[in-house]
Amino acid sequence: MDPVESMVEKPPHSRFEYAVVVLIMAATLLGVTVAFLQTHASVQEDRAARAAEVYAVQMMAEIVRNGYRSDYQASLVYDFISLGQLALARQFGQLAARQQGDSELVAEYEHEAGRLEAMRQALLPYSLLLSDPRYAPQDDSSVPNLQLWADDGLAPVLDLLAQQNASVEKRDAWGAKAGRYVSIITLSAVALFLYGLSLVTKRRVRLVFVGVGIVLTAASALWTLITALA
Amino acid sequence: MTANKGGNRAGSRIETVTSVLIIVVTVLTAAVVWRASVLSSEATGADRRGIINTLKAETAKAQNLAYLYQQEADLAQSHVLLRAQIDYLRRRAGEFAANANGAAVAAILNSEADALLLADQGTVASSPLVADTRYRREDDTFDLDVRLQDIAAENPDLAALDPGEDFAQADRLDDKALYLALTVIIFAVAMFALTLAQITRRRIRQLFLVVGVIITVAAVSTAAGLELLFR
Repeated sequence: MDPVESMVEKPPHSRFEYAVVVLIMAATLLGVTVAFLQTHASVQEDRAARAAEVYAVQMMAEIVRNGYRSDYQASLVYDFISLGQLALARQFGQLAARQQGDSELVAEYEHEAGRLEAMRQALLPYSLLLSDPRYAPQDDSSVPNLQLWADDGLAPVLDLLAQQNASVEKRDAWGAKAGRYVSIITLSAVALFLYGLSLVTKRRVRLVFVGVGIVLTAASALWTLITALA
Repeated sequence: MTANKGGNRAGSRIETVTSVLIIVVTVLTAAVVWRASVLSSEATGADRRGIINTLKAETAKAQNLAYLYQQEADLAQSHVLLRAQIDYLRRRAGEFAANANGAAVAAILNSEADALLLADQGTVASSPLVADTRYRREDDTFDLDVRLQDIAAENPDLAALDPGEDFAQADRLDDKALYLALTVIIFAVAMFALTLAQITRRRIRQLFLVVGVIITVAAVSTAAGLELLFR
């Protein structure tokens, strides 16, 4: 016997075995293709998950930054109002002193009221809530439009939230797709097992194995097509 | 009979060659899958780095803003209030000085203004926002955005953080891994052809063998090209 020939296994003899080998290769090819599609879906899922994480971080940071900006503007308004109240109190004191005829005290109160009013007016241009026409009070009695200020501050946050939600939806969709591909690969693996089993069994039971294997392979191929097109 | 024996021997050689090729293709497929897995792992690392850098960059931005508003803008506000008092006191001193018997009061007011000026000088010295004229707008208010940019530039490491670059690298690595996974399908097709060459007889097996070899060469070239050219 040829030494080379002895190293090579005898090829399958029956048409059935040829057919099973071809089916095994077809199922393998399908499995490899589905594995590629699964990898692609996983990559898309990871990218969407990453985008969602980044949007979440940016959203949190924007909320924090918005907090600092609002605190600063609120403190300016608070100081502006406080100084106004103090100036008003001095003016009341000035009136009381005038009624009592104490001219020195009148001058002192007037001086203090003027100083506080000067400080109050100095803050005005630095406060967006008091000087920006969009937020500033329309008259002396009304307060700044805080609702509009809050809405403007939250606009970028809500925008990021919408983008985060969209990314999460995208991640879930790709994740579901990747999950379906894993199921298809599992189905293909079962079909491959049945094909292999049919090669070592005899008579009609081998046909059952191959038959079920073909059904599973066909179902896998159909499912792959539906999933890929979805 | 001799011719038959010669034909069997040639067939055995083809089977041997095909078997060796099947082994080679299997090993190459495994190598490509391994490489794709390594690239995918590197992509995950780049992704993580990008997320961490995003956190760092956003935290730095928030900290810079906190410093600006809670320290420098606060000092600037003190400066504005001190200046308002100084201006008021000077104006009042001027008014008193204009009166015949108001010189003493004017001197007191000027003295208080001088004391406040000293306090204000300390405030100005400790706040670049107030001291540097670059941060002044035309209406004499403070340009906080310009100051914020300068504060960010004071920490070049954090300012240089670019998560987008990390994500772009992760995408490149993922794409490369994906293309390598695509070559696995080409290897599988080559394996299919080689298997058919193994199980068929006569001339058709030679055809399958040639097709299998061509596809294998194409798959190897694709994988090598990706490895060398795709950066």
